[in-house]
Amino acid sequence: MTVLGILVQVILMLAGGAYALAVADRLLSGSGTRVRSALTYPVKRLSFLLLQPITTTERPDYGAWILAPALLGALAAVGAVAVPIGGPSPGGDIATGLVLFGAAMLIVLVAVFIFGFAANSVFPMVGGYRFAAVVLSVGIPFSLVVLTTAIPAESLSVGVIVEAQSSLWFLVEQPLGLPIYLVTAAAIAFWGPFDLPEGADLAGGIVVEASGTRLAMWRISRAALMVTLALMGQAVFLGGYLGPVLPGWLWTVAKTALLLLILALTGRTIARIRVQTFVWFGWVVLLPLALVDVFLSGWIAL
Amino acid sequence: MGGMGAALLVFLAALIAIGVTHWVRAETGERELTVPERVPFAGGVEPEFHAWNRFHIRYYAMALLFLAFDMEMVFMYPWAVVFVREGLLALIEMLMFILILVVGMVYAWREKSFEWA
Amino acid sequence: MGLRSGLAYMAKTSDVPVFVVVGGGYRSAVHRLRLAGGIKIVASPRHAAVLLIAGSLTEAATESVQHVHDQMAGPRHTVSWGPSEHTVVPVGTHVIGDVADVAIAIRKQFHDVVTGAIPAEPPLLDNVDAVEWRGVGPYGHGGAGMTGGTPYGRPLTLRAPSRDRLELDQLPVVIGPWFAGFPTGLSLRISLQGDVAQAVEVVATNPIAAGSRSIFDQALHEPIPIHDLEMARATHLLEWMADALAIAGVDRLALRADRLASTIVPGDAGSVERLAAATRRSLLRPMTMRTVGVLPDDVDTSNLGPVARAAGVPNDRRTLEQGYRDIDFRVVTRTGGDAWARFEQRAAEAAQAVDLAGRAGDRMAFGNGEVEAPDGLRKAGSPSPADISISMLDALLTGMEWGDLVTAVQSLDIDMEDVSVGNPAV
Repeated sequence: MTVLGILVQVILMLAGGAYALAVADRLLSGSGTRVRSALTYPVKRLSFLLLQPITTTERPDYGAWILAPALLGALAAVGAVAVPIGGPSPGGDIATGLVLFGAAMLIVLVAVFIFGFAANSVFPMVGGYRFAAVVLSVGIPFSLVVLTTAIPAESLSVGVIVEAQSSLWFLVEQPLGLPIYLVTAAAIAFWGPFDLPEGADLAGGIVVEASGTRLAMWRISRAALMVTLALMGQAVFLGGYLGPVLPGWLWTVAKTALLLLILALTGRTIARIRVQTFVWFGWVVLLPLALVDVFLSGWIAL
Repeated sequence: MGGMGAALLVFLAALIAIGVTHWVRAETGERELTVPERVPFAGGVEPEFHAWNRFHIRYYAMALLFLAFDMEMVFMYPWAVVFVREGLLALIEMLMFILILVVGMVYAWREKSFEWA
Repeated sequence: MGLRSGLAYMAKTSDVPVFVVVGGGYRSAVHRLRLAGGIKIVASPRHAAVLLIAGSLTEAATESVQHVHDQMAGPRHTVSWGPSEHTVVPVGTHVIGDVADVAIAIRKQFHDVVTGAIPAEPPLLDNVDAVEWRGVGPYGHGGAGMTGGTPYGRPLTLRAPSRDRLELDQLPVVIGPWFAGFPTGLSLRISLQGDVAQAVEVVATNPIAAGSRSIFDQALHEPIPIHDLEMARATHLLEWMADALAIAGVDRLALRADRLASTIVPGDAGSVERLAAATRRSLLRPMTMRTVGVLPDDVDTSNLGPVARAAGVPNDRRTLEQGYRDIDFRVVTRTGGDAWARFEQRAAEAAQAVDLAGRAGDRMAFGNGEVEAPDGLRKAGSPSPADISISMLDALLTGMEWGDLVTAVQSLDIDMEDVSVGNPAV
């Protein structure tokens, strides 16, 4: 597959996933939307945002404000490259795919922070600093559970990790992995119930001053980030493209959709966590559990 | 071109596509915003000060703890690959390393580094 | 068809993002507006296309409402809603009518302003710098030291000692009166060091004018059917729950509470209990509310109704009323006194109120100058519950992290209509 092929594949996956996520989130919003109007909702919303002018504050960090959504989207895209979609692919072959993915996901902190900081306004700024606390608390458990899948596969290449699950998914072999992954992934994508930088208690936090195309780009990039996280989740825990009868890419799409649905559902049904409770939870609950996951899986792999 | 090259290209393509769309739209506003339109929102009252300040990051002790564990993550990437080959030795070595760090985490917890208000 | 008109064609039937300024007497009406289709109430004017000004405002509201109007990204339009036309924003459309009327008006104005059928409103405030540029360099950063100069006319922050006695930056901000996390109209001057409030002070102006008298104010002077009182209490408490759930990020349940508030029938306590069970399943207690907002010991809260009863104080004026005794009214209490206890307490009281209304028949109560309102004891000539709550905010909120601060303020159920500070009508 050529580079262009990978690019097209990533764009299709992320755009399709982002659209599906927006529709699912709309259906779960509790406003009683019908399926038909939910299907057109993302298009209408995007049209309005593209129509609306971009406002600015009186002395923002102009460049950083432009850069932040682009960086977030680019990190989502580069993380998705490492995941093989329909079968072995050059992207999935990257020998250090997991390192690339892990690095990209932690740099999300930078994108979110500068988006909040750039506005020079109090709510976005507090939101940005809050997100730093969130990512510093979940960064380690997140990296640990993803890395644990490399132990039985003896490789950091996501393609090899998928192939290593041909007899048994790591969901079963490493039962702590996927739950911890989903919690930390939701936190890194600042998705409910961990949407601390965008919380209603900050009137929207980092996006308070963002309007029009700026908000649209931010929302699209965030949705792409969610898709990337779901993509990697299904590759390392749910056997990726492996599956009977159907073609590989369809399995990838179905498993990604399942994880996105779980994230959308929990985001809508669970109350937002206090930041200090979350920091405590990350260090005192998630980190030890992730360490147990590492050593238990290592013991089993021996 | 290998996967890493593709990754770099995809990164740049996304960065440029989103950045340029955003920048072009920001530059082609219908008109210059007035001063009151640019006042930051804080509920309706005009702020007296710039929001930017040397923000008191009260979770700094936790941030330091993160640094310690992040160093450990750097070692764990290659460790995970050779784990099965090295066997029990690798397990015990990493366990010792991690236990020392976990003692640090427990100490930070006892010192209430995870709460700050 | 150009790009612009193509976008407008798609956008004109999308949900209307509305920023609401809720004035006196329209709290409940705006809650019902949330249920109207095609309208999305947003927390930042930057996201809004329509500014809705509902109810009565005082002169003190003028400047802040005009600021919010100008902060809207546009294409913007104002809809004012209430018995008399506003002077605070002398533009837009005025609507007299109920929720359905205003929802139609909002959607129509949005449709027209997006398609360009009517022009977007220009900014209201003058295009002049409030504070003169006083900096030296290209970014106004010149001056003595690192924080010298006043870039863009606004100075950099003050410094103050932290808890650890270090001299650190401290940012004084005035939040409100239209910040969706606070009760409408409440402004607090908060000194933030990081995300922690080092000092809190209530701003002594009140933009909310008292609307028409509530049923509980009427009950001060004349006996009122218990059925009506308890249904009004249930509605008020359910709407408060909707606010609490919205701030906690569970909009789904917030909408459900709002829907219940507008459709609840006497005797149907089961619906309220099911809602309360759903909020427990949303993990509201461990995630958001546990241990938050416990009042200091030295403030007298005995007249604060649910807030007092959530802390185990069995104070309820209804126990002295013959009408309530006849239908076997018992005071409900909780222990703990944190935000979660207040939430559970209000949920239990809402269920109890619906139950009492179903059994009240035509019994009457009150009329003797003292009324147990949903937010506490109202007594002619005494400070209202809202006044008492306001007076202890600084003691309660100092030292809190921002999210906890918002949860704590909301848990007190302050109605600025009843606050006498800066409010000549009370």
